[in-house]
Amino acid sequence: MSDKTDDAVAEYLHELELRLTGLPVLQRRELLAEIEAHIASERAERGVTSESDLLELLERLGSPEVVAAAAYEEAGMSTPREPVLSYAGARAVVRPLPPVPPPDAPPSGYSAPFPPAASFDRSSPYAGSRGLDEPPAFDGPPPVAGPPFAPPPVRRQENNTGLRVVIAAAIVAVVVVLLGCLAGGFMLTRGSSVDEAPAVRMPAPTQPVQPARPTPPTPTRE
Amino acid sequence: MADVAQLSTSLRRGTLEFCVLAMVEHEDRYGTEIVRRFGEERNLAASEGTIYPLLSRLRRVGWLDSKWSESPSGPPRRYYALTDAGRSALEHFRSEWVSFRQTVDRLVGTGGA
Repeated sequence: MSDKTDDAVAEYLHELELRLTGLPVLQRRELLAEIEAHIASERAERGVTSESDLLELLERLGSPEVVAAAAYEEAGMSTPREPVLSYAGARAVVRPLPPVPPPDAPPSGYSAPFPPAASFDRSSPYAGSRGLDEPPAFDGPPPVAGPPFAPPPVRRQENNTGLRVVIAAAIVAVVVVLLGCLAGGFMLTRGSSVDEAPAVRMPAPTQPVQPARPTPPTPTRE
Repeated sequence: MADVAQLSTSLRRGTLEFCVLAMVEHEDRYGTEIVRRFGEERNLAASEGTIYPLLSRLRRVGWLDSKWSESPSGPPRRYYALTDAGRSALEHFRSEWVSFRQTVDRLVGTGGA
């Protein structure tokens, strides 16, 4: 019987030690020594001899998992789920939590607004992101993007007076281009409004095109 | 979330350590002795092995002192003693606990007549 009880104690202590590998070595050794002394004193002072008594003793102690969890908590550490697993295992346990919220309506609602917000952020700092993202995306806005170039030159003016003339000319050119674009825009809007009317008249000619459908009958001609 | 086990765990957290301090207030006790004493308290029922990590922390924060001593019957025992810091912490808890308990009793309606 003593061999079996000794085996049970050794197995218990071994299980506990495996689960305490995340603890600082001195804390681990201290706890193992205390638990071992506890078991020994209980056996000596309470006459624990039978295997059933010993198992009851170990049960009162708590499973190695429970004791280890308390040890990590008292040490201010998170409990690794598996004895041998490193912190990566703990992270894997933590990660499943974020996926839970997404199923709810609110998160999905938030996810949709985000992309537009990001695009707005990119558009606002013209000078920085414009050269990278904006040009390929938008061909129309280039004239609008012109002004952004002006600000940086303004800063350079403080340094080199010689560039001021060139920059001023560039600014004037940009302004001219902008005015031209604005004028062109007005022209287009006016033109489009004028063209719409004829466009309405156009449908009439299109109707004659429909008669072209009779073309299928062409086989009959053949 | 609010099952019985969870509640007792929450209540035990933050109070059990001062029960340990009070237990060694007047005389030094060894680990197994402290653990046995807690085992007799059903309301504090916790796995005995979880007391040892608590003792370890109380020693690390300087509220308990410990020394190994030979036992007349059995293996060496580790005796725990209350330090001055532990004594003042215990006194602080006592005053805090009384006002805390009165407030909870008043709000929850457990104050009695």
